[in-house]
Amino acid sequence: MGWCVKGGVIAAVVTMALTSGAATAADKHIAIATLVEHPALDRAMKGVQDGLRDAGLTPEKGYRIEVQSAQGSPVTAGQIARKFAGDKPDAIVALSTPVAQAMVAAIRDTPIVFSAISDPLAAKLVDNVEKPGRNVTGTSDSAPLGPLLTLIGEIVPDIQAMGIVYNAGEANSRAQVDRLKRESGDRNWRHVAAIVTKPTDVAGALQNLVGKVQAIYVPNDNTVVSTFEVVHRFSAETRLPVFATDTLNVDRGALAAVGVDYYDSGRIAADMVRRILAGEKPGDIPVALPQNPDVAINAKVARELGITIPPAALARAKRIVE
Amino acid sequence: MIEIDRVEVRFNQGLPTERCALDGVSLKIPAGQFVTVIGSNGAGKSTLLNLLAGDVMADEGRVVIDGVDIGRRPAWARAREVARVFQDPLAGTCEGLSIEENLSLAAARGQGRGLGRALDGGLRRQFRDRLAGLGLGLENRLGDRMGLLSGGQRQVVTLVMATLRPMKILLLDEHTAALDPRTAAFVLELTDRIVAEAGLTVLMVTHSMRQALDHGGRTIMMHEGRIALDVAGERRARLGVPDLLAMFEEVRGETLADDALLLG
Amino acid sequence: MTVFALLGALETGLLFGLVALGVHLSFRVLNFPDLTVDGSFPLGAAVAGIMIASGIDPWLATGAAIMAGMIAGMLTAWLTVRLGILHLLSGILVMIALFSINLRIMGRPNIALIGETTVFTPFQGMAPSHLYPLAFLVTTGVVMLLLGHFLTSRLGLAMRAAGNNPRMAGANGIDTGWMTILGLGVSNGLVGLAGALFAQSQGAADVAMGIGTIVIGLASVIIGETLAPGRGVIFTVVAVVVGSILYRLSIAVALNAEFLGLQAQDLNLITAVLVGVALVLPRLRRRLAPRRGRARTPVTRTVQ
Repeated sequence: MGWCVKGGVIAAVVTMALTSGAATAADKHIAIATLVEHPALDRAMKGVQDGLRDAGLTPEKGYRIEVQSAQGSPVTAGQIARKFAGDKPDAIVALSTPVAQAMVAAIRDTPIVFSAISDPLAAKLVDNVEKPGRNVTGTSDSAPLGPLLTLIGEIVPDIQAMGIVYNAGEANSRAQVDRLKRESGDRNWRHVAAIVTKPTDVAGALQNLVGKVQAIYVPNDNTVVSTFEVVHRFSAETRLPVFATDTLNVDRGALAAVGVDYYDSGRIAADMVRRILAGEKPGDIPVALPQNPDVAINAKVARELGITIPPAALARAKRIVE
Repeated sequence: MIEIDRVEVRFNQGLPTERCALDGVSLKIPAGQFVTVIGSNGAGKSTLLNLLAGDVMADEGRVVIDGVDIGRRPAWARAREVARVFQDPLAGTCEGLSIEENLSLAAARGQGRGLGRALDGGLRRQFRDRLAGLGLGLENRLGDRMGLLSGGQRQVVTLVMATLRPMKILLLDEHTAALDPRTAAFVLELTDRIVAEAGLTVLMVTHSMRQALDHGGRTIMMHEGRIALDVAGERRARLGVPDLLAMFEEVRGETLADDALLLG
Repeated sequence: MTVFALLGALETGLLFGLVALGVHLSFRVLNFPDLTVDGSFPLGAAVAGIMIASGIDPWLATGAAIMAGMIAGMLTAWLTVRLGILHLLSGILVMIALFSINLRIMGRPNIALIGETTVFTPFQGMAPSHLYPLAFLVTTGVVMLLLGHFLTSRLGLAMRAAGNNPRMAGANGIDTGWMTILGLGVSNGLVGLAGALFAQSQGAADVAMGIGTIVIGLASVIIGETLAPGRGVIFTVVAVVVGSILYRLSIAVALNAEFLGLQAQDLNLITAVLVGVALVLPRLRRRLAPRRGRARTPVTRTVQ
């Protein structure tokens, strides 16, 4: 008797599984997957969805758009990849490195467009940014750090050492910090690392920088950005200016940021989907690298810290926050 | 020959509750002797047994079995020499394993355990034979989970398990105290039978003076961490419980007031 | 859901069946709630990942991953057995330490293995959709056979006794401390193997991939036990792996739940509900039975 019930339940689950998610054959299917709900990824997602809508790829015009979230688990991302492999959509959009890797590993014959990836080459998503060659292309989000370093040099002319606050366990952050070291070039500033593993470590890590640095840099780090208010308060107390790569942080208290707008990045990815559905091969579309850095400056914070921003820097700003 | 040589065991050393559980105890048990140990609570009889078992280490003195000092070995490392039946009927067997699995564990006591099969036809036959002699029908239930048996049945199995492999001394730790009178009698009768058949060396701790005199060939009475009385042979055979009491008073110069000891 | 997604759930379920077997060994057999697995899963992935990315033979790399997992497990057990630290805390300590150690081993938080030679590369010529489930079926099947053989050996029985009644085990000559150390070693070796295989099939080793492993393992074990309550060692070994597969199936169902009007963010909630239903099922079944007109049998109490 017990086996009948158990068997019945298992059969029901499997049947429900097999019959769910059926789509009409006429629809074009665009499948989007993200890792987790998070400000940067959410902005990219919005960019993708707005871009698709503005390009006319809407349900009314016969395009079915599906969104899946891996809820933070790379393992679930793998299952989503398997699902997409079976569903055979017309295009896949993958946000974040673990999700993109899972898609690329599982799917060879469906076009994949990635976004919100800091280093597609290191993540082995493509072998070549000019001509990716296979079924994968997308947008890279590593902002060139040269403009930011120039900006820092202009605003803090007597800088000798810069503190960097980040979580060494985040791939994005590591990549950005390594790039910072590479692109610092002939500037003879020292870098002082303040490493954290969770948001509650941030306050303590910042304290360690007092007296050692003249400026602080925060990369696109989920852990630090999630408690950016702590960084802002520290900045106001110690009069140390904070620079960032994500321009959203300028609204939250950073003095200035030179970054890539994830929203724009998402829109570019959506445009790539449009091109692919119109017939272009993903392997022929070069990986989009950010061209025009997005400069934002917070004038109110400048006043709080008693810093005057040189007019030349102000002129370059796309956005000034009061 | 089991030898306990001037052993002292102190608990809670350095604290206000410090007490001496065994105070310079010496005892020699020749092979084949069945010794019963009695005493009131706190007299040290359980400590004596635990000392032999390896649950308690001596602070002074030695524990020697056949010339080998085993005093510093943990309990599991003495298993080849020492077999034990606990007071709690549930403690001697694994509830979640089957009867034959429990017997298999006991059959490997003191031996190396490798990746060989835990159970095979030969072992099962051996177990069936041993259990059939008890008359409880357990030989037909080898595959049953031990948890299905009653406390009394589990204690019987524990006793059989303890005697599956040879040992230098069998420790019986008030092993009928938690059983109802009928089962207790059955277990005691079984104990006598098994011990006599194999000529085992036994140390049986009991709370009952009656039991202490009715079983075995030598009785030791402990009091305040020392051996107060040690009677054997002819002298012992003539004793009744009141005689034992009188002897005790004579030796210690005080009267015993432990009801459980007197009435048991 | 497509057959593809079904096979994907089967494949992931089989792979995580290794984790479930490991968790069963520590949590149920040895009575040791072991949180090390959240660290030993990515440890296996990290060791295999860095070795494969450096060009070392993937079989060797996978073997090293198993050893690494074993060492982690034995360390946790050693902390409890020799230093007397509470088992939960020992597992947590090693898990936390492993987070840093894994980063050190990998050198960076994510190692991409796409395009590298893995243990699956020789089979990639075959029909890909049938490849992975078959490979995992064979691997997990072999592990299940070995584990079943082990648990019914004299050593395995001793380990089960050590977990069921340590006092009795000691009285029968079993060094329960050593049993715990050995058992946790095997358990985390299995989890390390799962991590290494997962990284090679997924295309990347990532430091974050271990989070929640203990929960997945426990869910699989509990689902499995609900299906096959106390029926003996071999049965339980199979049941635990089946539990893992059913867990993955529930996630696959949840991924297709748009037809119910649910959204992507509800995935975890749906999975929790599905697993919860599985746990409540036995009780529901018992309540339903009398109403079907059976005579009420008096409940026999097990006499203690």
